[in-house]
Amino acid sequence: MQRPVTGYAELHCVSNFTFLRGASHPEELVTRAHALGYSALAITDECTVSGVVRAHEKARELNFKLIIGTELQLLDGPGIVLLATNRTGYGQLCRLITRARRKAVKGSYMLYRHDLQTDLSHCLALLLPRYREDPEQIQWFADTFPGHGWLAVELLRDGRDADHLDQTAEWSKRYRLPRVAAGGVRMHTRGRRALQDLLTAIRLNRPVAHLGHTRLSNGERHLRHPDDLAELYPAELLRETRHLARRCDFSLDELSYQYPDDVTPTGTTAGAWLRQLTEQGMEKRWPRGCPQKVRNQVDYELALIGELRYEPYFLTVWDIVRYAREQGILCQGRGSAANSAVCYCLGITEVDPSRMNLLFERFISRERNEPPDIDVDFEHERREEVIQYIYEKYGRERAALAATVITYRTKSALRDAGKGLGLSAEQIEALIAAASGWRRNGGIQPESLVEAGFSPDNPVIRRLVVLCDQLRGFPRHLSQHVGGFVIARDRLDELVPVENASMPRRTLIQWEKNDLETLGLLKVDILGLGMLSAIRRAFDLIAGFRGRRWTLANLPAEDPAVYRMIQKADTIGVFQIESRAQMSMLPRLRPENFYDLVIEVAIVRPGPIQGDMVHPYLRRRRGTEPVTYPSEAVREVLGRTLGVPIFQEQVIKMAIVAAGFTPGEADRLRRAMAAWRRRGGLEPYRKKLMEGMQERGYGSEFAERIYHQILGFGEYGFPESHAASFALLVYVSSWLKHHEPAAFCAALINSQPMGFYQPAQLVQDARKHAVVIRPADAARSHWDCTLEDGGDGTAILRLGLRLVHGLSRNGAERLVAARRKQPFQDVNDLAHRAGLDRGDLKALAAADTLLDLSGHRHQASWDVAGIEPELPLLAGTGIIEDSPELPPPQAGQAVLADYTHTGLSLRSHPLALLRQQLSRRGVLSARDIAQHPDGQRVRAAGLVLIRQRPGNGNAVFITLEDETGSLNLVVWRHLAERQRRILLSARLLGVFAEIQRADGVQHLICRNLEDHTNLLGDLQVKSRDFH
Amino acid sequence: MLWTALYFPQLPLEVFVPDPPQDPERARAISHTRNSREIVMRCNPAATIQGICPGLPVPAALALCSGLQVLARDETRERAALQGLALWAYQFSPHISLDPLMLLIETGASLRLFGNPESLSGLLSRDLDQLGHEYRIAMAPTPAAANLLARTHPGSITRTTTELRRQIDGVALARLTRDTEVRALIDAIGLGTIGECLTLPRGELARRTSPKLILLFDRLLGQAPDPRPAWQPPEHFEQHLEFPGEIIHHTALCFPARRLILALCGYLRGHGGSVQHLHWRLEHREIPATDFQQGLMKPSRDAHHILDIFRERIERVSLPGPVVAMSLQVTDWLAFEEQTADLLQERASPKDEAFLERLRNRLGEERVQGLSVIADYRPERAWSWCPPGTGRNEETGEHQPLWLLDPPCPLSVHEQAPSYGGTLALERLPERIETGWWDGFDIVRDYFVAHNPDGERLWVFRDRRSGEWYLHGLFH
Repeated sequence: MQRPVTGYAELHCVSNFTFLRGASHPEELVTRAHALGYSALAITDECTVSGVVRAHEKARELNFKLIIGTELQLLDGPGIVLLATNRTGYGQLCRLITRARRKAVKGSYMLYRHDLQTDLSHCLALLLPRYREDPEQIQWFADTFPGHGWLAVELLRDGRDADHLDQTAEWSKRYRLPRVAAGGVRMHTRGRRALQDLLTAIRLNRPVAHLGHTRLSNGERHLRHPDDLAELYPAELLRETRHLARRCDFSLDELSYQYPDDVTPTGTTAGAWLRQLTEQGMEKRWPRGCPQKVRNQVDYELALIGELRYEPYFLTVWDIVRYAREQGILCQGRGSAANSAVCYCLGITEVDPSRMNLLFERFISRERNEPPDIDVDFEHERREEVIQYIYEKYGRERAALAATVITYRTKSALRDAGKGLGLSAEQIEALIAAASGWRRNGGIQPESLVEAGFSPDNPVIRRLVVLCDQLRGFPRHLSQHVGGFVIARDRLDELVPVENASMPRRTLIQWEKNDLETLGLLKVDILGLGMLSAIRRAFDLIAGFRGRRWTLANLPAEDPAVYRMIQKADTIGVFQIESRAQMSMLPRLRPENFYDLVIEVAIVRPGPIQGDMVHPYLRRRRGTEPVTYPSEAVREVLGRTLGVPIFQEQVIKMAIVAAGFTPGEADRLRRAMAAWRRRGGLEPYRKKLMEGMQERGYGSEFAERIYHQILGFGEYGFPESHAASFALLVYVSSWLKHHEPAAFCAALINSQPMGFYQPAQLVQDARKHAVVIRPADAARSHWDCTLEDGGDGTAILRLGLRLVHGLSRNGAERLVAARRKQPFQDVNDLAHRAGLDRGDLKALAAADTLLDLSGHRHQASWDVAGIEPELPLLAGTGIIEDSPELPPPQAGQAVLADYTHTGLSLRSHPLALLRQQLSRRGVLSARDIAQHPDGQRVRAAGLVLIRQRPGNGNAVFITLEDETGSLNLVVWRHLAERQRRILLSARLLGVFAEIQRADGVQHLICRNLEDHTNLLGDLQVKSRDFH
Repeated sequence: MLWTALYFPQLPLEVFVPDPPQDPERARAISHTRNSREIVMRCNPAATIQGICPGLPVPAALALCSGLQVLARDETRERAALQGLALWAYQFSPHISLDPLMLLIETGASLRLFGNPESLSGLLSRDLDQLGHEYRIAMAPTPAAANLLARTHPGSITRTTTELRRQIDGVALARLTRDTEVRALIDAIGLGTIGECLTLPRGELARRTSPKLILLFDRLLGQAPDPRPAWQPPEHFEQHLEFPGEIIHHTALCFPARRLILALCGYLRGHGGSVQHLHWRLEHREIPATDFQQGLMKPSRDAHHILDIFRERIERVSLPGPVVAMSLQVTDWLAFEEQTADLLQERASPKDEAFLERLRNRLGEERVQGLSVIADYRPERAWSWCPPGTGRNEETGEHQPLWLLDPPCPLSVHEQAPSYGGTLALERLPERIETGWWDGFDIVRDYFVAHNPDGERLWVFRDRRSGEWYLHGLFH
């Protein structure tokens, strides 16, 4: 037996980013290779580098050598591996991958031998010869990679190793190609053998049991122990791996990245141009002179931006925002950019920094050496215009979207693993139903298995559970990030490969947001936000009606009447604080000023709730608990929030001042927070946090709460600046709701779908606020809701034709255009001049919009059914018809029909029609219940508006609506489980419940649920379920 | 004219054998596709109790009842079942027409034979109760009306069109037509029943709907002809019946046999024929079917008599296993003189088949087997027995021997080397086989080609879990 050769380097290894072939995460591979004492590991995923940043991060942590490469299967040639020897070689690799990917449809690639006649001089090439490879292919390879091509010898104990060794020795001699050992690795340990088979089964869409010889015959394709390799391979082949690894001298850390400077006009510098734009903005923002404090801040920021050379980045974002403004698209920067006075001056953000005590260091810091991250929200319906502008301006060679790696979740893992193990479709559905629903917390619980009729001890089920656990978190495919753009100064495809997205006209890079962050690359997020659309529309409606144009900036600030409305939780339709949880917090927190809104937005989040920070804050605010600080350092951090950590960065800061984290560690903690739900890995931080805080004299209970808060933040943590940007939209939408309720309601309906509420609820709420609402009418309505003059300056809301179910937008617009020329005489006239088809006409009739032109909806439906579109318009020569006497709809019928055809009714609430029946059953209305004392048990019933199940799953919250108002229900877990069916399916829900009132907030604690849906007949009432 | 409609509402469910057969009470539903969604079409009482009802989307149904067995509707089976029922019904009238889940029988002409409609209805019910399907009967002057009333007014007998007009007045139009356009229009103008629709001006209604609706009304009321192709019975009688469970006892087979015999006799009456030879086939789960003949002393079409004879005959049939299905075939009901010889004649077989036949007769059938290759890396699972001449015989790996030991033979070990007739010399670089986790036979072995001092080439392996050595095969 030979002595083991130390320092083996694995040069051919794919991770699970080679979808459905690699069975280990890149991090696992690196960790294992390091533990085995390899000198290096090449990650050579097939035509992709998507997984390398994770591998790089792990390798950097372990101080281990990572080589970047790729495996390529040529359509008319052999399989090869290319390894980057330096930055140039890496660029060559990326360009080749881009070329192969861009030619093919999303998710695949195409590569021919002639594609390799490009410059690959800085790459090493390995030929992966098949057993008895075609000599012509070997010859081609030798010719294509003279001096930098090797024959990879992969011995996999398939019974042919000896033959293969002899054969490759002969080829090596004949074609003058040196040989090198390789492992063809697909998993980090042999233990992934079962998962490997499952992946093959998923790839081939066959059950595992029927894979036959398409599966691997053994588990040798893992990172093998050097002793094991020494037993198989001649020593010189193993030594050669080290030689190759030494020639590969490239690290992803070398990628330096420069932001485009297209925006800077010639003849000036980016720095000067940024200063000039900032000064101009400052004048616009403070026409009567900028406060000195702000001026100092701007100077400080510009100096730091200049020092770190971020000017081009700011200018790029400024340019995008400028474009949106010119197009009349409302936008606002979110996230930490709101800390920056420069961003405010440039119009990127809208929160006046002098209004708040924001810290620029949170946005950019010299020490952190991390690029700033500016996310900008645009009107959701017009975001695409902005995206196409960026592609157009920078071209596809320089701009692309970041990727999002879609990974296996419990559901998809169950589906694919179940299929692979031969379970029937119905069994799989049953398992999924058992594992998801209201009981989500990732794993598959034995109880839910039993409930679905499976025995957890059944061997098939046991295998399924194990494989699902392994499969969860595995990448499945790349998708596009919601809006993260990467823009390069030079070629993007030498930085990272670019591939096609499934959407036409989109391209994306192979890295996702976290990868970019790890490598310190800049991106700008172009996001869509429905509320911005609604606010812009409200501004437009008001400008049209009153001739006065509001903007985010000029709306009167700090209006006490607006805060009074907010304190009453009268916030249906308002941004963010319209949710059930927010609404029940408002009367307790009673926001009085803008900063209170910032806290309100941030406090009703999983972080503060799981950290149990909400009640301490409320008590301190109310003065029932003294405001104390465990130390002066903590006072620094938590002073503005009465000693209670609420914002994400406060918690991070606490880790530094109270637990002794270094800023670097704290930053890693922040990123681990965002990822722990997907990848775990918070344990080490917990230990450090607990120990650190104990050392510094903080109670373990406090430390535990901080840790829970960290868990709660997860991906959804709100930094203060972000909360501030959102709070601005909260204020603006509240102001609009209070002062211009008709315009606000119209704008919300015109921006659907968005928010928590359906048009029916928005309209009901507006009527409660004395807004007069007129129905959609073919003789008066436009596509969108509009404002009509009530005669005394009040705005009346005219519902738009957009509410008419089944009416095409084009048809509606032709109708409006034809009507503008000349009012319609009758339905016939309307049908012909607007060129409406049968479907549009029926929709108009059914929605009762033809009252003046024909009659009630029954009559109108009969009339439009008789219109023959192909007849030319001959005035007055219509067919003389015998018109039947059709009965008008009865009150109940009319309401039902309104709901069916427009989703709402202005006649009466459906519950009003059922009130008598309900009263007979002892059901009280929402209004009545408000008169009953706390603790009393009552019966209530209403349409289910919203079902919500917060993260911890202890309760389900339901909002019911009847004709007098809405009711907030709490269904505790045991009841929810017992009456799950009713809970999930009832549209008209009846409850027997106990009234609970505190701080002006009323809840009904349910004791029993009843399904009254059948009372509704076929009335269509949709609820919005948030699981 | 008097049409009798027989409606079989649960037929979509009834054509499926419950799975598992031991559990006929399991909640089951039949689904069909509507607007590219899977919708529950029918369900059994066990499912109804769980809140399942027709019209429910399948995922929702599964959410309500995770143990629900959902089967896709099989219209081919339904048609076959209806054909079988038509065979039986043929005795009542030669004019039968098949609608989905429905038999329409023109019984006006045969009333003379059966007396009044009530007694005919009684006769039908008596047989139907034994045929084991859920059913509804209605009689009406037109086939369309009989079809409608069987669904809305089961048990009704409507003799005149005046009576009919009254009967259908309050029936929802939706029961008459599935045409969504028509239904949407009637709904939109606030009407609902057939009676209300009949008050609409005829020409105007025709213009708004397709003329089809008017035609539908006219046919319903007998104002327009409603020609229906008469169902043609097949030349031969053949019917198949799957059981809801396994049948082990001879006597229990009489119940399904009765259904088949009833159908046969109906068929024979319709054809004016009788039968002397019946071919029965009993099907089992995994073993070949049992065939046997039932002869009658003289031709008959008396169901009681035939069933009595069957009872005797079945006692003499030996059942190799539980019966899951049975079929009855009669091919010779007209020309029974010719058949006897046919039965005794032997089929000529090719030479090797004859050789195999002799071999099997001598050695016993189960001792003559062929071999087939299976794509599995585990040597034990890489082959299987099969009937001679039916196996797949692709090349096996050249490094594996053809002759395997079953089970592998443990080898003793001397000085760390296995021995078999002396210490074995192993060729270098083993073949490693690690696979089989999914079916509980996971092997982890290193296979070696080995030589013993006698120069024999052996195939041995080391179990990597236990470290023990085994002989698994011999090379020639």
